[in-house]
Amino acid sequence: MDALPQFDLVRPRTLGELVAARAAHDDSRLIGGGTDLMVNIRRGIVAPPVLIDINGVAELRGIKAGAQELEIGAAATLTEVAAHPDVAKHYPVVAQAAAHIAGPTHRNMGTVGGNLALDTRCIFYNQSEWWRDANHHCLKTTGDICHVAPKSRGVCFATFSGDLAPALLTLDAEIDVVGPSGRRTMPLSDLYIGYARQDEPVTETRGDGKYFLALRAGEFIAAVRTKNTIGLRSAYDKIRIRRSIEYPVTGVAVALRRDGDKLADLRVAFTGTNPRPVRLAGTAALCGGALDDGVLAGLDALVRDQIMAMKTTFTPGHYRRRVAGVLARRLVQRLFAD
Amino acid sequence: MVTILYAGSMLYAIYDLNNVKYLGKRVLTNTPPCGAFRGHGTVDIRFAFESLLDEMARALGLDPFAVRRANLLNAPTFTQNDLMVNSYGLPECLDWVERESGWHARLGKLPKGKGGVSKGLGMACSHYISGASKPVNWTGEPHATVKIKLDFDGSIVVLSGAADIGQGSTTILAQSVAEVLGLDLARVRVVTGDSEVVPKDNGSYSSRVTFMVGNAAIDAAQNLKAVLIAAAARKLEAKPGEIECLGELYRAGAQDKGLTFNEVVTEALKDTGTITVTGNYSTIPESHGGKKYRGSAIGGTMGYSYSAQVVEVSVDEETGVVTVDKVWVAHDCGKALNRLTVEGQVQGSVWMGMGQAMSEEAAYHEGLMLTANMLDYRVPTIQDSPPIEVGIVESIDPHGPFGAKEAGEGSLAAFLPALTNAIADAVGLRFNDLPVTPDRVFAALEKRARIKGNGAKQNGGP
Repeated sequence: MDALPQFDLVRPRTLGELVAARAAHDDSRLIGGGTDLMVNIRRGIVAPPVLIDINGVAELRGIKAGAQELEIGAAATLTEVAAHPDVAKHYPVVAQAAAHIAGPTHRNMGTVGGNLALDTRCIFYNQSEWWRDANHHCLKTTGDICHVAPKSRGVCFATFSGDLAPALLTLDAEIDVVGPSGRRTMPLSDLYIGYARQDEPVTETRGDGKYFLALRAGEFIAAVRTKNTIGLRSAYDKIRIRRSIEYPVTGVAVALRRDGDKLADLRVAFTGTNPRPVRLAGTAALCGGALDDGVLAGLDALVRDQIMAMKTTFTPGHYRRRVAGVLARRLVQRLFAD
Repeated sequence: MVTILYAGSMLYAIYDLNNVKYLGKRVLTNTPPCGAFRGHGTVDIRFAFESLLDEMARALGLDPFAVRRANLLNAPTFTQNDLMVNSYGLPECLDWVERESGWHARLGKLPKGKGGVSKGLGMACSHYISGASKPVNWTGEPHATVKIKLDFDGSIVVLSGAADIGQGSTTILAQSVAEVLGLDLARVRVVTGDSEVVPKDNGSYSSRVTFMVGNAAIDAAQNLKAVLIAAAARKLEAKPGEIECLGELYRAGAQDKGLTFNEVVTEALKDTGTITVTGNYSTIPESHGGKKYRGSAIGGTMGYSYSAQVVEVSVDEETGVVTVDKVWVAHDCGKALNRLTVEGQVQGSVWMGMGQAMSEEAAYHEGLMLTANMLDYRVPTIQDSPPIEVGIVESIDPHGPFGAKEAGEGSLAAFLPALTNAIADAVGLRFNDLPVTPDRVFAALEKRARIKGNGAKQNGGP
């Protein structure tokens, strides 16, 4: 294996050229900042013969951040999102999540589309080619076993670690997806299909750590969009071993609304735990009353029920699952009190 | 192998110990081969030793500073295993960190459990050699050789094989030569590392360069100075002993107009052309250990540096995240030849200790290293760095270059136990496994809560 295999670089100037290039090269991959993809190429995990650079496509670069609606192009950089005053003002959870990603140089290069479609990660997967070979590969590449759960019956548990996804999930964001058959809009939550259920087969709508995005052949994310909700307070926080250049051990986004003394709306989403970013189900039942110990206990119960952190990182799953609950509770309390 | 010997031998060189039992074991593993690392032979054992001292002090209700002070060496001395200790600034290091950290006023009064976070203070000491006194090559060569070339234009080029690995040794060599000759630093250039040109050097390791190569540079500069004084004496028709060297001016008595440096250089080169002088440095036999104690050649040095440290931490008892709020570190480097370099080296030592103590880990899966990259092997970033206050203690070593000793390694080892001692102060839990990552802290807190819960049940509690 070469340090960097041969590939052709295609640099479209318009969205039309990009779609055409994608259609012309079946095995191509889109490249934004390359902060995820280039590492995987260097490790021999993927070897696309053609890379399509999205950075020259003006239609993908904009950030429209108004008081009513937010729309971010897939090629906008994480630094641009983190530093945008109107994103920080009206959609703080998004700006905070962007500012928490890796280190400054990664954020200067990394794009919104790349972070939303970030490859899932696992200690048995994000290794060099000789390492994976010595370990007999794994389900996510060419092997036939999941080293995280050897009895997983063909299910991969690699973990989703993007920071933007949980932030945008709490805002009920939708994405524009462009492909050979045109443009379609879908809820962001439908993009992530890494359910990794051992009791059901992997399908187009129910996947695992390997098949974790509901994108059809040739499709890519063009933009992400959300509407503002009046009175919604939101924030993002995550646990890291090191405070920069680090994937989330556990990341939590919270958005809530307060109506007088009552919790009127509560949305919580996680990253770094499951093969998909998890928007916590069942939070509506916690709303309508005061934010008391019962509500917090209910929140913790939902987290324990839905967060399934496996041994995909050096940090044990038990810890990631438990601190997910702690971070969520703290953010809820802080936002409610603000 | 050397590390095992060092770890045992050097136990004697920090406190006054008369009886030491030390057992070292070599274990054959299939993990990657290891090599010397900053603080080589002191770090792990100092972590164990200073942790035990702290535990003992807590159990007996003693002030950890008082425990150290009751066990100080009485320098100058030879330790029980015949290690030579001439300068010993540990008492002053203890005083400095105790005072600057406000130890006695603040210990036990830091907030506990506020917002789930408890704060604590911890302290520890460490030491290190300024190069091994026994030569690594047994050929009879000096420990260090430096050459200085002086040319017609008055340019001074110092030639040394000592590689500057970021510790600033090239600057120290230039400073040493400029100091002896009384010249501005701008007159001196240093060439290092090119083995076609420079004399062989034993290497930049075990903190030997400032001490040994620095002494050799001083020797070379003194030899050059003697040549220049002889030339000035010739020109001024005086005896060499009458020549006063003021760097840019050489004169025979205060009334003499004298010669400029360049005039002296012209005179000196008149018959010989370009001048090259050599300077050497060898350690003294007293530092090599005697026959009294078997193995006393190990761990011997011409001068030990000493360090004391206080670490203040916050422990988040709900997430297990440990934050170092501040570090006070005092380092006895004999004499700071360059205060900025010393501060930088001491801060770097603390920082590197922080990596080992808090985030860096070599983890394996069936013999395959899991963390063999800069993402997963978590070297701390500037975001992780606490404020580090450095106190420089100058004990003026009788053999050191201008009294200097090492500054680049000795402050690493104390960080690890000072951190875990601070965590013990904050939450009452002692961590013997490093790094103290949030999940380890969390697991220990959870285990304690479980044991307490069981105890309460047995006692008829809920």
